[in-house]
Amino acid sequence: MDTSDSLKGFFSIAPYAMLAVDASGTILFANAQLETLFGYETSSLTGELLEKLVPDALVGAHTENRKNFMKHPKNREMAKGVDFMAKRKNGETFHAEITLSTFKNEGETIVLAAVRDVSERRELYNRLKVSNEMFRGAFQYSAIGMALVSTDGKFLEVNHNLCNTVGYSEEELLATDFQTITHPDDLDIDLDNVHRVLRGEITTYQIEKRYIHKNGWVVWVLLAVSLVRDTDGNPLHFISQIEDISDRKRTEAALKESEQRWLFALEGSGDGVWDWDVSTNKLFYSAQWKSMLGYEEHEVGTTFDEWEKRVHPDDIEKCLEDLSRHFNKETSYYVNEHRLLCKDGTYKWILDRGKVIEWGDDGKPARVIGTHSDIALQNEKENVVQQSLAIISEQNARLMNFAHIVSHNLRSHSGNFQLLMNLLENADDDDEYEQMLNLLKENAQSLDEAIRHLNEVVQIQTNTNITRQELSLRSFINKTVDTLAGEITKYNVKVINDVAEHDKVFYNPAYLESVLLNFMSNGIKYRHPERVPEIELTTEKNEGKLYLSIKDNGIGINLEKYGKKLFGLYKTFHGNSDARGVGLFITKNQIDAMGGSVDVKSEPNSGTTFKIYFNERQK
Amino acid sequence: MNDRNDVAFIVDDDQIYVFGLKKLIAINNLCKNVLVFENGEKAINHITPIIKNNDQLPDVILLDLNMPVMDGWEFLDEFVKIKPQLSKKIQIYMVSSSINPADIEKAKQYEELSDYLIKPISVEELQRVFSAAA
Repeated sequence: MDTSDSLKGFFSIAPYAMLAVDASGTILFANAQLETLFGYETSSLTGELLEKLVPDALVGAHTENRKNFMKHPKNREMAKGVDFMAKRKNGETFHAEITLSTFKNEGETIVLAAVRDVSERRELYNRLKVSNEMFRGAFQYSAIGMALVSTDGKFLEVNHNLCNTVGYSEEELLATDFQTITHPDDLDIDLDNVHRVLRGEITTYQIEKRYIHKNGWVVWVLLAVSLVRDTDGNPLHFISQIEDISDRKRTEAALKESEQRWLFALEGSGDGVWDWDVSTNKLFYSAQWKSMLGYEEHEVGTTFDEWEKRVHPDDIEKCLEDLSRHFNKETSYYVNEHRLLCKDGTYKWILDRGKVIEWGDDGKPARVIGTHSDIALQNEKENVVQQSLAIISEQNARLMNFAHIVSHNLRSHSGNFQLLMNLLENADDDDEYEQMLNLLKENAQSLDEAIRHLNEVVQIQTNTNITRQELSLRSFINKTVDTLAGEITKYNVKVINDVAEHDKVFYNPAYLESVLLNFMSNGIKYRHPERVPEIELTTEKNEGKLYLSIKDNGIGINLEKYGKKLFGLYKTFHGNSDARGVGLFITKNQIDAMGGSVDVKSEPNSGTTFKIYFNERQK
Repeated sequence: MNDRNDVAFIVDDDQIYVFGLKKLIAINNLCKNVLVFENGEKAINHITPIIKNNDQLPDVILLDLNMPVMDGWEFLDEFVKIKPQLSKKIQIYMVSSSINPADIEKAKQYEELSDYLIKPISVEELQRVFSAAA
């Protein structure tokens, strides 16, 4: 069998396009695979120059190369194949890889060439190269830190930004793992996420965490991690993106601190603070806000409703109206006084002030903050001042009145002295002289009595620190009945004591005795001549206050005529000879001094009822 | 005193004062008939039945302020009611120990009052009162 025949046989079954050329570059034969690759008919290449398969521009260089090769022909292995540009019959060029082997046949050098079209492979390679370069560029020059991290945490590749962020050089980082430079408090959550990704529970994760900078300080980062797997799905490595958010964290911390500071300042002033995120309808209530109403920190939620449901029903409408007026920008801030329900079921007056500090894009309020002040405290103080003022004014009026009474009484007596003394020398006779002396004596006695009465009044009015104690009203009435026993028997007075044993008053014992004695003896003194005298004592409670009524069936008083001066000094209304006009005045003063009041109802001929309100401290 | 007043009323509950005043009027020969009422009500009750009887009506009334039953003010209020029936001019003087400005001010609002005099009343004042009425 001829060599070329056996070659042809081998060629025809080879997986590659193949041809054989002689030393002059003439194609001895080519297999069908080659002719197909280059677009020629079967056997049409035999006898043609090898350069027919080379692009025109390269023919010269190729011819030169071929001649040099033939001087020292050698094998070129497949793996060491060289890229050539090849030309198809239709002129199209393509990248080809060529492997050569040479042998001698009857003294002639013959070169065998295997040709492979590598256009596709080259294109793929180029694309990969570009892609890789793009990735490298993006990786190295990224504005944020990036790293490839092995599944056990070792840094495989790191970029400049990451190095800057954590302060280590590339070499230092590649020698360590992320666990080493992570803040101990954040390691668990990071590792937990790593394991979840490795287990396939999640594909990526993003967390805010802290690294420890090489210089020791804390670096806050936003970390985004994804896992790269091979074609079989086995984990290869992580790609981590690390954004330095220390500045943001610092700003956040500063903001929080500044908020904490004003919160502290406001709370320190005794005011409660609220902070309303309108979009989420979340409302923060400060500890002071809660404690003002008697609540513990955990007992009040974070909704608008927590406030709204505690506002007194009579106040809520005005509250919401004031709020919406501010929201509509009719007012520059919101202010409202309302009652809030405390934990103990009582209501507390609150001064509520607020202001929208952030507006949404829709022109609606986004965030509103405000304060709560306990105005009960302020009002209480104000009330004390007002009360003091009222007491002082009343005291002053009483003193003025008293001064006039004193002046009047002393003047009337001194006037009489003067008058009588002047008349003494004009007495008609000894009898008249004697009469005048007696009148002088009478005047002196009367003056003495007047001074005693005035003194008694002064005692009541100036004694601001009178002792008080809890006293049984019923037993004091019985005691008064004993005191008046003589008159009661004499006039056959019927006394009805309907006061319950448990009715107690907080009073000065002497005053209570005096008050009861005055009203009851008044009832006897002004009894109706045609009726059996009757004095009825009853108590009633009105709005928690205890009232004592002393009702008689006597001759009564014309209140239209005398009402205004009933309790004045030296006022009598009946022309009764034993009426001194002192009793009711002193009684009224004693009742006033104990913080109470007295009211009178009467009609001439049908009787009188005095209704006494003692004071606030009674049962 | 040539033109002596015929009738004067003293309305006052202070018996010592009344005694002295009557004596003073008698000594100075200021008035023939002096009637005393211990409160306003008694004076009004006396005047009402003799309202057309000018001879019995007083020329001068010396009226105390503070009295039981009906005081000086109330007497004036009653007097105003019966005044239209009177044909005689009656001079009324408020005579009181009160130097309370409120009382003096209130007195000015009664046009029936000729003056407000403060006790003790002097002889000179008394003479002026009665000469004015004459």
